[in-house]
Amino acid sequence: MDEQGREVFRAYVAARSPGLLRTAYLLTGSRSDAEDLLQTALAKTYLAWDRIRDREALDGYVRRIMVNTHTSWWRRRKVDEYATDELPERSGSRDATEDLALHDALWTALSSLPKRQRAMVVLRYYEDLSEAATAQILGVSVGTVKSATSRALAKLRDTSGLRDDPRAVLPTDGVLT
Amino acid sequence: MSPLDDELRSMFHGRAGTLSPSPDPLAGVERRAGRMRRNRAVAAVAGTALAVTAIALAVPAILPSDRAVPQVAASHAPDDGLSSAYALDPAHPWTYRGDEGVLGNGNLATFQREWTIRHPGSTLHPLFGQVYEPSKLAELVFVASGGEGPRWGAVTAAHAGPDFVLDRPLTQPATVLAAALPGDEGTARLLAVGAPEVTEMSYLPDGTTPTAMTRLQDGVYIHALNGDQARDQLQAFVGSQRISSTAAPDSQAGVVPTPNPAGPPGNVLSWPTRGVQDPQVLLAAEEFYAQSQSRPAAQPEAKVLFAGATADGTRYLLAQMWLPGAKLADTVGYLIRKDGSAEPQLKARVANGTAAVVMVLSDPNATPVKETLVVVPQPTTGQVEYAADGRTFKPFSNPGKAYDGVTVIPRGDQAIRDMKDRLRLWNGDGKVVFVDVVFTLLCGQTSCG
Repeated sequence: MDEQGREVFRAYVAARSPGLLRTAYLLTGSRSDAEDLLQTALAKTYLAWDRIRDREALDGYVRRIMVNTHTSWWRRRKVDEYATDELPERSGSRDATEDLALHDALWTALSSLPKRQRAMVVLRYYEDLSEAATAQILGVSVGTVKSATSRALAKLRDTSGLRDDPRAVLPTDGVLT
Repeated sequence: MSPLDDELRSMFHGRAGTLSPSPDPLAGVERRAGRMRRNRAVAAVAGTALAVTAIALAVPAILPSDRAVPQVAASHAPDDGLSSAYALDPAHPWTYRGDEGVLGNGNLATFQREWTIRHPGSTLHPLFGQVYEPSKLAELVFVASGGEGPRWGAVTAAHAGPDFVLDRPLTQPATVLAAALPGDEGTARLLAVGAPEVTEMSYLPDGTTPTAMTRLQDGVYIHALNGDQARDQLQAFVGSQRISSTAAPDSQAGVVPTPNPAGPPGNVLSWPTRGVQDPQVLLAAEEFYAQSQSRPAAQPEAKVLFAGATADGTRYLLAQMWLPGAKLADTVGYLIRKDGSAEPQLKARVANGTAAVVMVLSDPNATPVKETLVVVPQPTTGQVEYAADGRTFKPFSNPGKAYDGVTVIPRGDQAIRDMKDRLRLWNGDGKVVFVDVVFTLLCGQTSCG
């Protein structure tokens, strides 16, 4: 990478790393893992910089590396990942409103999803990507995104106890035949 | 948008919003990039690093001169065509090598089904399969013919369904299919599949220094994709003859998305619309479909296959629907009962060439449970037969002229309970064009039966 390329890369990292860090955090569930994941993804991007022609599509490229890298980390990290019945402690004062309890339950339930399903949910409902864009990043068909997201939502509902929450009605996608 | 969607978005933004940015991400990135560059030079595959490296160091000394000092430039051409004698012919692909178990347990049928949806008319031929030890997931390298042209790729039986990690057009002649697959510890794997006659493959991390790849099967080799990605090369040999020299694949290369075709999705059936349409049912079905796609404000497009009504006042339709720009159409059934209750059905997608599309009309209040099969066959279908017990077929005729080949079949208690009932379709020439259990035609996008 020449000096000009390095400057462009630095500008990109400065501008986008806060947003990408948030996505990495939602993928991993931990601040330290998120920083590690983002750093790895940006380092890979750095190494491939001269061969990336479409700089407009950089965010998608980095997201894709993050998702793929995170998925391939399962062996090194699998001992760290488990579903827990206990809600994680929140920093600051506890607010016992229903919304916060619901969000805590959702966050805990999210950790029980397989990584690719979790990635689908994050890309669809945090990044607000379309099913097609999500499919492209994950390298799967739109149908797979639909069906896997549907299963993920159903699992979130079941494992978080949202079934009983009148506000948490799932989108209708089941088959009645 | 459902409340769960809202809650997820709200939760995500709430969680992510509390995150403060890292103080100096760039310094860490540059340090890690340097470390990765160094590590790539020493990483190896699955504990065989030392052995492979030792072999690699010995190779230049014993190879013929054209191999000791490769004459290949750091080209990124897909294949320089050194020899097409060992090239892959998609119509007569290489024999399958690897773990036969990868094709079992319905895996191959699932891969094929998903592939056909992605590429209508294309047939997948397995070339090499294995269960990747670290992930315990079955993975398959394949070539495909038919449809829009030959393609090749790799698919993994992932938890969330088949994951086509590679999906590319086949550039011919192709002597080696080189796939960059996710590896352990963040290092991609180079999995190369050549003709069974291939006796050796080398990976050149810097484009000049050959490293022997690890043989998995005849003609199938693997290595960590750990070289300089701007210069690394892959070479294949049959005996002392170099038959291929090509740029190694990009470790981040993945699926090349197939562009959306203009016009309707490729799987929209060319069948005529049959029955008598009911605008109210169609409108309700379209609203349901838009919501199911999380696009409640979108206006779906629809190809109605059949619309009708039962004697007890249930109005229904069976249609293919899609949102503008979609690559594939979904199959939707929708019925509105006399009491106003509605039942949407998001069914499994169908491919061109399907023999019939079937929906079930059910009455949840009836005792015993009452179901009616509405069989919408290909327009060229002659006779429709149904066996409630799965063995004794009886012909069913159309209830009326407007049905135009569509057949309505009452499904008895035992058939509903046992799920063994079968359908058989004949064409006008007296040949059976379809016979299978009804169960397979009642699949939704997420479940069957």
